Amino acid sequence: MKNIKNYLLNKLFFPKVAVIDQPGIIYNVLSRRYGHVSSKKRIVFLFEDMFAEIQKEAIAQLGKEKASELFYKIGKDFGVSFMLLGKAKKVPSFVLPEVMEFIADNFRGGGFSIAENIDVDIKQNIITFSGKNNVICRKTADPSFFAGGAAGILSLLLGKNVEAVSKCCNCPNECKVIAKADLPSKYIPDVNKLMPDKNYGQLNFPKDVESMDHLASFGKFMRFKKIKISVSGKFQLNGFAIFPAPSQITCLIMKHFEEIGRRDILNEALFRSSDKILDTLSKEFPEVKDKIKIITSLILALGWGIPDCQKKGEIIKFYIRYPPFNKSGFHYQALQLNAFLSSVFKKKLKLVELKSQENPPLLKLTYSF
Amino acid sequence: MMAIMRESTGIRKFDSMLEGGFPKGSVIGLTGPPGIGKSIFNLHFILEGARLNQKCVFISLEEPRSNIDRMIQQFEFADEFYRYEKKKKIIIKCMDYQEYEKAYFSIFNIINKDKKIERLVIDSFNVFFASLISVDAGTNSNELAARRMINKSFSLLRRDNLTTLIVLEKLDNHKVHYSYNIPYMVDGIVSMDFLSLGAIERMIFIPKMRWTNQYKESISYDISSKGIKILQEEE
Repeated sequence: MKNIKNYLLNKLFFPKVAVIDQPGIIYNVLSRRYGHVSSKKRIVFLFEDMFAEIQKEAIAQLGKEKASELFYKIGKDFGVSFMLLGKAKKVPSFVLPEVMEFIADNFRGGGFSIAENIDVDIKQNIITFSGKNNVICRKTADPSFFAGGAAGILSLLLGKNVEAVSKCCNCPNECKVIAKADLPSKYIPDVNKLMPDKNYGQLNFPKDVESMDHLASFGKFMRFKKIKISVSGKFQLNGFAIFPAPSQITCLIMKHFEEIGRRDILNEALFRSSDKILDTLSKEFPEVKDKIKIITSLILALGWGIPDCQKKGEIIKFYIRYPPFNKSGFHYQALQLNAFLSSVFKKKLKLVELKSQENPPLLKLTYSF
Repeated sequence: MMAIMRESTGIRKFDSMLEGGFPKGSVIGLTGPPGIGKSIFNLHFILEGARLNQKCVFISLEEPRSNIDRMIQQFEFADEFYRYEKKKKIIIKCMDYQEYEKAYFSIFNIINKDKKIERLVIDSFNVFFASLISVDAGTNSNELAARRMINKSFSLLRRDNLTTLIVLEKLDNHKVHYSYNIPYMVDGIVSMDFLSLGAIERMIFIPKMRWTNQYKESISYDISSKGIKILQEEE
């Protein structure tokens, strides 16, 4: 009976996923065979080390409890936003195990390795995620982002607020997060604020983009073995794990740090981790122009848009076509790029201008020494 | 089971990625961005055929003869190449844009009349249709005519003892390129690409090759005075 149920769910109801990968633009498309519901998510790749560094810096500066609370909120907003982008709705409880497995598979398939096992107790509405070596928390020993994410996703699926707690031990070998509807409420996301912008589709999925096969892309990085898949299913870019996420994640990180007035934590962590990553990626190339080329190739391959860099004296301008558009703007991208450029020139740059336009989609960032 | 006869490409390590070479009698598409080395690959293929005492024809629809000569003279095999051309083992035919409308008929006239031709290179195949179709306008009747021409071309090229390499330039509008199904019609595709990440790296990849258990990974190559050199994979 279970096999028939799985068969029917897979063949008739579960959406098919296609990943579209072009230079600077990555998105996935979910489409159902029946009911014609399709959704698209603009995806960016992030360095696991960077995200972990942000979390570790937060723990160092705020203390473990406050940092966990912060990342739980970011995770829960992320989970809800992820489901809203996918146009997900409440599901009947008898298909919850299969739906959770489908969602987890989608994450795992993109290198966001989480929860090898998902156990659903339908009667008690308890969902247990267990596994090992989960991305991000294997480096921070803090699964609060993942717990929040699970809670956010389940809240949408069950149509009621769900919270999650971590029961990990022997990190990273025994990861365990338990999500339940009747746990004391920790954080309730504002769904209205997390809904994608009405122009999300128009801005993030450009049509008739000219062919740019000569530029770097995720697929090209894989063909050239710059990105490989490790045995544990994680994507590795020259030894650094990267993971995909809907581009909203950067806005959520920025928003929560700004809300607590601690953007400095983000600054510190991004600058430090970007320096380490770029130094490693460009160690054979001492020339500034080569390091800039590496940055522009990274922007292209990781789905952050199509960049063009112009340097004149003390001013550096980046024009990024088709950047991932979000409600809250581009402050995270501006900060990230500043961090990389600062690593190139070994001194902190100042962002003097951030301008964006929608038609055609373009982000202009100007930095000075 | 009959063994597939193969034609060496002239690049030894590349042949080993193809169980010895291209299947004899096949039509192979060669793709890659401008300047990647497709024309140099063509030279290897033609020269190797001449070395094997085969009659080889190189048709250039984009470069004048002077440019082809400049390219050949960069390499150590230039003298050998010209010796074979003198002996009529290698025939180079260049057509300029004024002859494009005649190109189709003229090329297939050559192939039909001379059954001794065993290797043929057409650089580039896209140019065949430049005079017939306007990429911007793309009327239905022109599209139909182009499709008929492509299909007929392939049926004329598929001859037992003729192995053909056609250069497929990527058009700006992907849709035009793929709407004629050319990548599906060829028997194999060799894809050359580069990545600029500090230094320029070149890779060659075989996404498709009928009747062949081809090497599935992409492999680095370089270009030197000897031509294309496949680089040893790192352990």
